[in-house]
Amino acid sequence: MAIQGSPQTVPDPIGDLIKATKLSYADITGLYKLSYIIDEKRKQTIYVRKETHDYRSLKVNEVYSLVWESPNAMPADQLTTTFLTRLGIGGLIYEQPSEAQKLYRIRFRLTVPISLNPEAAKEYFNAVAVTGDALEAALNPGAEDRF
Amino acid sequence: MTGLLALTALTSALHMQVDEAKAKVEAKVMAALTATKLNFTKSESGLSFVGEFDHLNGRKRRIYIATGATTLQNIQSHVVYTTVLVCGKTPPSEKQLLLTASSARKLGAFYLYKDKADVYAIRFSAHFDSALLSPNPSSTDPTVENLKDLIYFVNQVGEEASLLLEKGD
Repeated sequence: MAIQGSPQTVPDPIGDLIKATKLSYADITGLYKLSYIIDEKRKQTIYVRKETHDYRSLKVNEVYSLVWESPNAMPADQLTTTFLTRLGIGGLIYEQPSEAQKLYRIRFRLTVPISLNPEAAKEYFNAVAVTGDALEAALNPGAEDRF
Repeated sequence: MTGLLALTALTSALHMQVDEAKAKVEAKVMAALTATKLNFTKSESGLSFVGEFDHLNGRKRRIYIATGATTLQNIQSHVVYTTVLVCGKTPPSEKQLLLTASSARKLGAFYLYKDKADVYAIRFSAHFDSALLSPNPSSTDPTVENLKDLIYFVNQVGEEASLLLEKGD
C-alpha cells in the first residue's frame, strides 16, 4: 500500500538556528561546517554537530574547531603543557585514531544551548573560530594555517 | 602634572566602572545560585562560589563556580569545575592523561591545573553564560534550572572520573 502525503521532515533545531543566523554553511554528514576569515592571513573552520545532547533540562550542541593534527601521538610532556592551558570558555579534547579518522587530533569545543537566539549563536560560533585559531597558532608555532 | 592627575583620575574612574561591572556579574550569579536552592558560599579567596555534594561511602565533592567571567562580545563565561585527582608534584601519568583528555562528555572537558606550590591536579569543568541568566531569577526559571543541572553534571562526571582514576592501573 502506498503512503500518500508529503514526506515527514526530521526536526533539526540546530539546523534551524544556523539558518536563522543567515551565516553561510555547508551541510556534511552529521555536521554543519562554517568558515571564518580571522584576518588577512588566517581563516578557521568550525563544525556544529547536528546531534543535540541532553542532560536533565540541558539541551546543547557541540561546536568545535580542530587546532592540532598529526599522524603521530602528541608526546606526553607536550600533552601535559597543552592541557594546562587556561581557557575562559570551552575545552580541549584529544582524539586518538579510530575507525572514523586515522589521525591524532585536538579539537577545541564548546557547547551551545539550543535555546540561544540567532545573534547569541553567532557570538558563540565566532568565539569557537577565534579561540580555535589562537590555539592552532599556539600549538603549531611557525606552521602554516591549516584549519 | 595636571595631565598626570587627569590620567590618574581617569584610570581610577575606569577601575571603579570595572569593579562595579564585576560586582554586578557576581551578584547576578549569586542570585541565580540562591534560586537553585543549592548551598553555595563564597570561597575564602573570593574568586569562587563553593558547594559540597555527598556521594556514596561518605565521599564529598566540592564544586567551584568562578565569580568572575571571561567576556567575549556579549558572552559572560563562568567556569564551573571540580578537582578529579590531585597528582602531586609530578604531572599525571600518560594513562591518566589519556583517560581524561580523550574523554568527550556531553558537555565540558577535563584539563590540568598546577597550583603555586607546583602541585598538579586533573579537573573537570564546564562553562555557563551569566549573560543568559534572568535578572530576577526564581527556582522555576529555565536559566536557573540549566545552571543547577550544569552543576549536577559537573558533580556527576567529576565523581565518576575520580573513582575511575583512584582505582589506578
